[in-house]
Amino acid sequence: MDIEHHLRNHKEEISQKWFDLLTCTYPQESVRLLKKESNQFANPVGSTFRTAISQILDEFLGENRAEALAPLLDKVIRVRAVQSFAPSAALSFIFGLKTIAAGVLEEELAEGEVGIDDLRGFERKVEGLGLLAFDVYTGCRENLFEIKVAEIKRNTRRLLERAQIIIGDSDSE
Amino acid sequence: MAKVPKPSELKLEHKFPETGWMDTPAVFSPGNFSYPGKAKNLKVLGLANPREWSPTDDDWKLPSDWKKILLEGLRERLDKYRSLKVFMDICVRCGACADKCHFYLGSGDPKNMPVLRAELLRSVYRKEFSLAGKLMGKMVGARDLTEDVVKEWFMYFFQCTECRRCSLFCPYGIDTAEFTIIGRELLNLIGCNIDWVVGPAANCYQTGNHLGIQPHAFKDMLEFFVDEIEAVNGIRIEPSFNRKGAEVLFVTPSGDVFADPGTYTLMGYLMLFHEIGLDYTWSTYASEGGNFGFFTSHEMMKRLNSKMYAEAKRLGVKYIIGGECGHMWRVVNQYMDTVNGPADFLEVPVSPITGTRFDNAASTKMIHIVEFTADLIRNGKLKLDASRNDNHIVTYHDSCNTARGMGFLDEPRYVLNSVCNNFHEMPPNTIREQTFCCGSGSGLNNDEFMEMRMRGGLPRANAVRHVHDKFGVNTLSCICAIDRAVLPTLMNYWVPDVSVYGLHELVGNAMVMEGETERTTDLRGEPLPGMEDNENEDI
Repeated sequence: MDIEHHLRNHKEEISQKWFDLLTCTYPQESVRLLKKESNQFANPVGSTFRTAISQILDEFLGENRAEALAPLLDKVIRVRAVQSFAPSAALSFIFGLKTIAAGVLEEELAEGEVGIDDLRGFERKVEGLGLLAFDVYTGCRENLFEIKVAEIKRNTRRLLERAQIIIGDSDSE
Repeated sequence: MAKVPKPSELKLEHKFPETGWMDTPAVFSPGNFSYPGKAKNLKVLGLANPREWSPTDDDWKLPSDWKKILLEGLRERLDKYRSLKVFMDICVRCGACADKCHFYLGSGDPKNMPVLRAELLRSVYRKEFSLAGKLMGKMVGARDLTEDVVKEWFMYFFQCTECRRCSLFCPYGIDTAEFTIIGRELLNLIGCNIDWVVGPAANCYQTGNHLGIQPHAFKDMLEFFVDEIEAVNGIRIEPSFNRKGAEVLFVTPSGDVFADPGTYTLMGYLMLFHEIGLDYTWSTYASEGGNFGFFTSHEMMKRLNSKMYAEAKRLGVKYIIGGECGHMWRVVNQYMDTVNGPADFLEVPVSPITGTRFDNAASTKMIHIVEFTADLIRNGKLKLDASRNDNHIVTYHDSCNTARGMGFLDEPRYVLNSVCNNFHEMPPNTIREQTFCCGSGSGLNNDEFMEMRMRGGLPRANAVRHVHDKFGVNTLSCICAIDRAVLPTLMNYWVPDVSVYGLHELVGNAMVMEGETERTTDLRGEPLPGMEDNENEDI
């Protein structure tokens, strides 16, 4: 039985711990809201995190396809990419999964159902997830800079058009 | 050789500071503050302490008696505004407002909780104006006014869009936006303001609009739109400018003259007025509906608001129709009457087409174009083909100012349902009175503030994403120029498949005009539903 199978048996516990780890990066006053408010519109960040974490785990402990994981990671990282975190702090929650996995598998490890090599293998897999998260984070930041440029263009296009700096694309005349 | 760190030493510290809010200073970093007001703009407006400075500097070059100025300014306002005095004393810190602010929900920064934002000012009030605060200090939430406090005020009063969502949930009716308004007014006394506010205000004061468009350019730009409309439906519209004796003066935000997609909304206005034969004029002097003075001080708001009425008087019109704008309406609806009104020289607006008398504007003599259009539709005066908008699955964003500021909730929906066949509301706790702000209002729609804008707009975008996923919504409609400027950016980041449309752009698309040629495209030049093949043939 592979380690993912064992981890899937602990999915609820892992989800909760990973969510707790993510939310504890916020100020104490805000953790209460992030954890307790269940209405997804009254607590958009907390509810996005909770849903996305569960989906990420399903994919990561299942088929683990990068193309499926990227949009799921994006749900969490897109939020953190605009909050006041350094890039390292924005993504550090990914690596927390290693510790969480070792913690929930304590019994299986003690009883030899899961070997230490399996755990090491899983940790390398988490590092792969970290690299994917890095791509997603960079994509979000690039998007942020692109939208700044697009906004400036939108706000000045007519002005430039009027000054005949932009040559029309239909140019029938 | 450097020692390789052990895994335990690699532990990342990523927690926010755990010190209490009073002991956590504001840290200015790119994306969380707006650039300061330029000296030349402060001079134009006659504002205090014009100088070059940056919030990231240690020395903000404040006047030597800055503390005295602020405390006297606060005292004066406490005497002048009874509401402020009451709001200072009655908050019981129940926390009902705490999680209602879009900036707080998106950032997780406790100082964006409305109660704490107000506390920034209240703590100084306690220390200086209450006996308990003087004697017991920090124990009763009082603190000294220091330069760090000024910096904190600057950070957080310019991280509030004055949207008033928080006040809706306050059991005492405390209007937390008033703390921001007064806070900004106080900061202006010592020259701490942002250029995205004072720049447009200075332009408006000098040229008549926020963008500083001069009369000939304003006229030129509108004529440019006239050409575009003719290319779409063959109808030549002839708007008039500064025409004395017209029945109506039309004023709209200048953003619609240059910034897409507001430009298409403006085309909708031109088409509507032409179709009903309204006797109206544009003014190249009162060429701004918005009022960035409102984000500076009450005095500046009054100054900028007065020009619309001065122009209405000069031209001898009967009343004013205002375009799709947000804060312009809050100023007109909540302040105009007492700062510049009543406008006795004008008449109570009566629609010349339907005969409807707008008694709601009996004193200000100014009506919103959406109520005017809703009335036209209600009376069957417009020929509409909603199927022209069938490619749009629409939802509606209530602008904070029109929804919460003036209770303008049903008219836009009535118009939308008349010009579109596919309309879906966002969830109840994100619309109407409870609408979430776009995150960029009150002069915060600048590009250097982008990270904060994305945080503030997150709750709105989250609700749009919900209807996008559930109903396939691809169009976010609104009736505010700032919304039209900033929501495309917000959507681009959070829900990229959704485009932003002004309400009258959709009206312009659906309106069947007398004598029009066969329409194949919408106002953006995109093929109308069912006309995609024609478009390809043209190419």
